[in-house]
Amino acid sequence: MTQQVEGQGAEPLPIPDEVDGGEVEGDRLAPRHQRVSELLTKLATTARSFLLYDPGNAAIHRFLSSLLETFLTTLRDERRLALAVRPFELHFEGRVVYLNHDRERSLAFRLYRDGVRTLTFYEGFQWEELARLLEILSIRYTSIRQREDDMVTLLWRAGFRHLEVVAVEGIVPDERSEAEEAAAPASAARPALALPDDMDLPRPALPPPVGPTWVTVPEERLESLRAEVWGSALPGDCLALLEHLRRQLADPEAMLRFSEVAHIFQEVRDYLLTEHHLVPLKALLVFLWNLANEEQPAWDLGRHAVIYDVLDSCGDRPAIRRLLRSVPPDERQLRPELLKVLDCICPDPVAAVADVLSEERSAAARAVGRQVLEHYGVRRPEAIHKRFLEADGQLASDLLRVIGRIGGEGSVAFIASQSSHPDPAVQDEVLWQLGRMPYSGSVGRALLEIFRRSVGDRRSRVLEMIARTHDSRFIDHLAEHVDQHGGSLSPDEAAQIGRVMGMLGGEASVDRWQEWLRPASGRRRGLEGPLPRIITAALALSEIPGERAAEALGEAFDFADEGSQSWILGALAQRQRRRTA
Amino acid sequence: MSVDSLQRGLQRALTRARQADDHLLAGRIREQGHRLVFLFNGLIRISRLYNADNAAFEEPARELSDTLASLVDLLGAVHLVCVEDQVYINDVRIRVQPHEQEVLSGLIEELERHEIGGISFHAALTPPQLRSLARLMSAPPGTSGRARAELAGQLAEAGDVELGGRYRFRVKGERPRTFLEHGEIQRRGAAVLRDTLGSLAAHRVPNPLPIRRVVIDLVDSLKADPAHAAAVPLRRPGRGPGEQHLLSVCSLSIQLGQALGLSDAALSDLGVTAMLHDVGRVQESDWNRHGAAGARILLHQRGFHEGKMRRLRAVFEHHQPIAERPSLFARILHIADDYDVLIAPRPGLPQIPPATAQASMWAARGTEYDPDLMALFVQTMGLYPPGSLLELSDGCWAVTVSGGRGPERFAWPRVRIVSRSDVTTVAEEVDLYECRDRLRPRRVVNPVSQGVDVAQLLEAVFSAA
Repeated sequence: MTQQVEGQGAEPLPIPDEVDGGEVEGDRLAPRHQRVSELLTKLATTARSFLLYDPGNAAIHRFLSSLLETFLTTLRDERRLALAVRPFELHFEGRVVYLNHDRERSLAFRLYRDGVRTLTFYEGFQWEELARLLEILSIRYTSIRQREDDMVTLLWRAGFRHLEVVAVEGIVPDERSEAEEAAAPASAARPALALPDDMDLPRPALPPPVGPTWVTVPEERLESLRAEVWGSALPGDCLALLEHLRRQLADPEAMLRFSEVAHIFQEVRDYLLTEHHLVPLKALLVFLWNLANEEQPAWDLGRHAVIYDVLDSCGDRPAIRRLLRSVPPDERQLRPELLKVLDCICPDPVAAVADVLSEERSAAARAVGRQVLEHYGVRRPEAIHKRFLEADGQLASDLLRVIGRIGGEGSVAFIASQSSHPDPAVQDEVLWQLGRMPYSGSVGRALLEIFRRSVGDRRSRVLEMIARTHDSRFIDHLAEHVDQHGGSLSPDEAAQIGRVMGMLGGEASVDRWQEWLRPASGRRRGLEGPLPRIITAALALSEIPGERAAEALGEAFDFADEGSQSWILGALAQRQRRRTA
Repeated sequence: MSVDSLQRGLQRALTRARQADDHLLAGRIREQGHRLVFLFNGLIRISRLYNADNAAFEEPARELSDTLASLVDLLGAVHLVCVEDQVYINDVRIRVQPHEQEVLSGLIEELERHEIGGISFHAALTPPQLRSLARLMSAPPGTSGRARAELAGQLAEAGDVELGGRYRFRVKGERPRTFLEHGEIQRRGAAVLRDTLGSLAAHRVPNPLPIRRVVIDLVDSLKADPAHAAAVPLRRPGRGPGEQHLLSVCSLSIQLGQALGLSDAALSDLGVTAMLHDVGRVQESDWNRHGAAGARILLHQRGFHEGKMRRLRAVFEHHQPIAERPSLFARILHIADDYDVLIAPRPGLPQIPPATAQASMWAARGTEYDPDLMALFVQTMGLYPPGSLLELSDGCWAVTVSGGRGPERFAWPRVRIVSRSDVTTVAEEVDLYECRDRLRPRRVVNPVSQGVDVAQLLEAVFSAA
């Protein structure tokens, strides 16, 4: 099984349909129990897939859809699904519906070890609750959040309405030991910390008492107060906290060193990046720059170095990758605040973004990255050109796209000159760009160059593009190609070249194709030249309107041998179909 | 919600969760804890095979001593707890490979022989002390039913070690009565606070998880009867003023948060904040700087968590007047904190009756306190907050035991009549609203000047309940 490294993109990877199937043999269960068994296998698979793969993976999308659908249909019929958790098993109505003895993979084992004893799903269980459940299960799979929350506190915080979880709430002395404790306290007493008796003093100085009355607070004001602890308010809380830290950093009595608080800045930065809060992120970066511009206090002479370290890490690859991914995938539109953030963190945004693009696989993030490069490339086209010459693969292709978008003098010629680039990805990009450029001699030459160097589908695409140019100068080059490689061309390729030459040459070229269909010398039946050449000429004539072309085909048919006749007949039939249409 | 948004939401949540983890600390506890368990088990086994002066002890005892010292340095007291077939070091489960489970079970059995479920090391032990401990553990157990106590009696030479009884998992739903639980939660909260503050005073990394567990229980308990929170500041069940203050502010803050309609998740964050809001006083004697000092202690916790960020901000701001735009948590703490400081009995300070304290705070709403939050606070407390001593219209004294109970009953609390001849006992409960035609509060009485110990009365009321 392929494991994907975090953040390496959202392209689908091969994932087997079942990665954590139980060991229960479904066909031995009654249909109801079998369905519950399948549901639990899907739940296990989906929860664990977040550990193995990038959460943006398309396969996980598939898992989620399937899981929710199964939940909905099962709960619609069952209304209530009570599952007892055993160390390696999940029971439904006393039957084992999930069994997996592999500690690493078993959903039952994980739930049991994390303290869950029963899970009861009720009809009405929907997206939001499924999301919260998967989040908790997945988080526990990755064994994180050791200090602030555990399984029990996370489940409690989730506030499920259609899922009842009976879980271990903590470790307590059992009754026997409590009785023993009372009878004989064990050995050494704990060292006690004596909090100062006046720790909460002095008392506040307040005005003379005024008798309170019942004052009803309007609901909208209550809602506004509650909103202060919603997730949307958290960036503001973070920035306010950093402002307090800034004051402390400047306070000669506090003598706080930046290294003591640097991790808070980094944590806030990562949070803002992850949650895509670019405006507060920019404020954070400005904040850091301001600190860096202040004189270092005597108690913290290494401050600037630490601040610059933090700033540097703001522009490292993971950070830039998060920035590019901060634009929702379906939006793919560069946001101005993203550029402002980049301005704060990257001395050379072109190099930084290009570095990330060399590894980025998410199509949406690449699109945003190209727009960023385009923004900076307008002022520094030479930087993009230089980086392109050093790049290969998808990055080179992206940079070429940027060069095309920037435009300007020489960009067409530059792109066209890449037609001989050895990298197939670049050649594809050149073709894509050439297809969108106004036609010119440079474009024509580039198309011809790619035609000569490519094979298969790419050559076929080039021929389609050549046909759209209406430039008859291609005919001689294509004819030369047929003459030179006539023996090795496949019939299909010869046919496509013929059609293109017919389109480009029109009626004026009939004589040329008639010449190519000349009867063979001597007494033998047949036409002169190899079959691909004959096919080329026949299909060229099929594209040319008018009687002369038809007559030329008719004459050729009379002399042709059996192998050529079928192609000439096909060309005539094609003409007929076109005329009828 | 579509599959796409579900997937994106999960992606964000997981990324944020990864950011919340202090990988370094959790990893070190696991690694050192794993080593501690295996070395300790090995040392007990060796003790059965060799004499006490055998050189075979030297290396493992030294290594165990180093490991324990490292954990003590990291965590303060090290609590090794066995439950079922699992071993925890300070709440972090020690993970073992399947083939190592036998060793884990071996240690659990060794402890079980002496009816022990856990050991707490309050300080690092020297190699000789550890050898002594292992030798005692390897010896035959004492009389059944007293094995642990007998072993504890022999532990003097083994250093600062405490033996715990057997432990089990407590499963949700097996709750005792609310009032008893409230007292139990307060007791447990005080113990957790002592551990936590001691650990912070020793410059160790903050670990809010045990406090969060207590707070969650408190939130559940106060849902059943909010009046408990209002009475906490006046009850003095043998704790120091400092611990009691933190527990009171926590209860009052949760009560106010519940009145506001905060989610359970926000209430738990608020409660943890309240428990730790004055932590700066552990190190800072200057009251004006304790907020910043507290935040400075707490910011050593690694990993992003919204609770941590809001906690740090509130610790900085919990004494700011509203003009400085403190956070919601800070504004709630400000009210709860000042109310407790005003009414809690203090040696050498006059005790202010709750109703008077509340009225003074009411006068400062809009300047010192958030007016809307203050209105909510007063609604929950009533005109005469729990613990107020009233003189009724018939001349009797009564102590209030309920909060606001809505606009109609705001000025008509439930009370317990106090006998003037014996001010240490309370009579039946009376709902003044129900008998408002014949009985009403006449004035608030200062209990101290009348020789009434309200704390004692409340203790009797709530304990009996």
